[in-house]
Amino acid sequence: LEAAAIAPSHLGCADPEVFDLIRDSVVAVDLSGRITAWNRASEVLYGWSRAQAIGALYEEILDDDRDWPEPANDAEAVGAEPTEKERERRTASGASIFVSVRRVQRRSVSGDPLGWLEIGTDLTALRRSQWLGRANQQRYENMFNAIPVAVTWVDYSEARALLAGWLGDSDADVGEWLTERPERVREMMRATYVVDINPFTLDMFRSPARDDMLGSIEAFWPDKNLPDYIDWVVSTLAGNHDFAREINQLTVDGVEMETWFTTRFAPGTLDQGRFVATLIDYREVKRREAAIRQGEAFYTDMFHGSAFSAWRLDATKALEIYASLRGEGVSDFRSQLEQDPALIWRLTEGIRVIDLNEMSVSLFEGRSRKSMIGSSITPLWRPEDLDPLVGGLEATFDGNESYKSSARMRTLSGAEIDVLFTLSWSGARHEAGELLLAVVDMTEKVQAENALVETQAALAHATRVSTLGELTASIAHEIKQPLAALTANGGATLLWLNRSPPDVGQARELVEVMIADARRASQVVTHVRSLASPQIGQYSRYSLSALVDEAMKLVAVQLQRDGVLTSLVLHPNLPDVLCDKVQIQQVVVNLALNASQAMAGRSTPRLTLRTSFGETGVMLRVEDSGPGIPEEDLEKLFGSFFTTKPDGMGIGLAICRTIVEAHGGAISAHNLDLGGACFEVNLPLADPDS
Amino acid sequence: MMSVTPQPSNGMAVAVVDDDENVRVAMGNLMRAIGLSVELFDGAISFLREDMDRFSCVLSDMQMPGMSGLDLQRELARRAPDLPIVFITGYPEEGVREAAFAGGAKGFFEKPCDIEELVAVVEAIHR
Repeated sequence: LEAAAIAPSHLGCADPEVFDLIRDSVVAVDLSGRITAWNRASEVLYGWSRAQAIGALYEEILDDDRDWPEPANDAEAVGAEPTEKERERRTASGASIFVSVRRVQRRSVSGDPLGWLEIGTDLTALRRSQWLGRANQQRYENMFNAIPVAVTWVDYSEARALLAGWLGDSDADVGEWLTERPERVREMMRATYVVDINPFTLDMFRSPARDDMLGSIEAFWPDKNLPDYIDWVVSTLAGNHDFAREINQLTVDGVEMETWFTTRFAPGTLDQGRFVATLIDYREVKRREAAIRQGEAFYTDMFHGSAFSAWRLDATKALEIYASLRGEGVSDFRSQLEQDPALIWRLTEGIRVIDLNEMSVSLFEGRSRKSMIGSSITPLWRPEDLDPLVGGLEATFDGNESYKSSARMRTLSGAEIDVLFTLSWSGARHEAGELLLAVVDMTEKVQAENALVETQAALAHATRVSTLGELTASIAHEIKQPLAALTANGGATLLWLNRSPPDVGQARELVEVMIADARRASQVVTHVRSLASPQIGQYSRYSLSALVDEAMKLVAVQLQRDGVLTSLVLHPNLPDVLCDKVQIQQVVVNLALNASQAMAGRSTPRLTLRTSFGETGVMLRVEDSGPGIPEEDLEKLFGSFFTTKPDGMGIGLAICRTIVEAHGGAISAHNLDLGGACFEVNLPLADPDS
Repeated sequence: MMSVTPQPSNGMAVAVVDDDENVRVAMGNLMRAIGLSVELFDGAISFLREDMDRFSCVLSDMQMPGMSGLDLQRELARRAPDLPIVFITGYPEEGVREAAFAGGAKGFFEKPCDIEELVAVVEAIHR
């Protein structure tokens, strides 16, 4: 029979013996605070018999405040849910116990208060096991962190009994009494036993076997630390659960070592005389601290000395939001964001600055480092330019280790700055929910390195012209030669036929030459196609993401000059493709520059290249924020000589298609829902055995 | 419709200078069809080894390895200022046409060229 199954109104008038069937403690108290009912379970739990309890004051019997909780005065409280609290109480023998107590008001039929009734459930065992669970977890964590900690379970009850016997009812100061009697202290140590240890304890105490460690603790305590033991005893008698002190201990072979010694009694176990002592080997800790400090120093130098803006961010709140989104079954970050646009600001509010370098303070026009630490990253982003931020957050959501993108950010004084930013999170910092943000100021770079930029832009342009322009010119010339011969021979043929009489013999010979000329012209076309096809032997295995990353470096400066915000979202673990590297990179460059030209004159041109798994192989998507492609042009886009540019040659996309198809892949174009065009290149995977 | 009046040969030939053999032969065919005798050269350098008095006219490509059509024109202006020259080019670059006419060229054609016009120019030279 569960106590909870009995409604409060029934309890008010039930026969007291019914309560004995309940395994929880049931206690009734009248308005004067005297106990009027005390069931069997109460006798077991608190150690007081019914005879002792009935009529006694509640406060004295249970060592608890009877005013908890405040008695409800309104009549409605009759049917109210009982209030519940966890209380630490004492048993008749003085042991502390944990009881979950539910109390209800008792009222007469006419509604007058009669007192209250409480049901108590013993939680002591549960709390103890939970505490032990925590101790185990702590031990695990410590070992996980590779900090050497000896954990020992110690039974002190016999020593305590000895002390109680010596002191009797004397009210002597225990500390003084023991300090004057070191042999008694030793005796207590001999009666204090190690009952269990963790494996590391053996290492720390250089003990060959577990049994050498179990038993009396006396051998481990050097004389000079007797005062510490006395202090510990005094602290324990005063009811303190925790004790921590730097003390020396002796190993099994008698070597003294510095340790950090802590003991802890579980709540409610103080009087049972068992506790957990942890000992940390100081030498080891100091050695590790030195190593960590060295690592930190290096990190700090790098962090503060770097020429770019560097930030350490605490993203734990944002990660919690991610976790709850995943808990709701969200897997696509972007579509979630479309439904809930404010999500992005909840996330930026959940990312706080732990530290930043001076470069960041000056780049983002802050007053001081101090004033920026602790604030969120929200003010750094322009609501008009959220794409790179969304990309970065999406990458963190997807669990990618880093993300880089160009972006237009905002300083604290509101100025716009063009930057290249990298967000990364890995290893231990990731575990701690920490993000690293590196920001390179492209505005300044462009200004300061103008000459270099010009050169690179010219070079990039030259590269492009040489790959496409020269090819076109050579195609034109190669085709014009046989056509010139064809027309000249055609003219000569006509002239022979127009003679009177016509010279058919000459004409026939020339027509045969003309057929050969025409064949040559078609060979030129075939040759041009083969130029754009991969050469046998130049196929190798490459990561599509690496190819794209490298190709985009060639055009980064040009894109920067065109004012294009470029983001690369490159899948780090795609399987390889078998391809001609230069040709695939030509496709990437062509598509990127095409997109940039399509966006010319737009206020915020954005280009995003994504690599991912495709339906059958891998896929590259080149997305722009341009005007998109008119529906009627989508079909003929990849045909030769299609162009919308006044000086365009119209073969860029045709060459892209030739290259992609020669690789067994496919290229297609479509318009994005939110505006802009998207070119999609699908490539088959390399044979895993090749 | 093209028709032809056989030209007086008076022992002189039309020099066809082009590095592309098919074009060179085709131009030769065309010249023979209008009754002219022809000599073919694969470049300006091999042509300039000849005695210029043997030729009534030069039909030359512009873009050739070693020596361009314009270089050839300048050399002829020194060695045979009265020898007419007609250019046929695959690369219609800006300025080249003007330079050719400024140097006294009788014609400038882009490949593939209008055969009737070319024939008319050559016949005019031989009239």
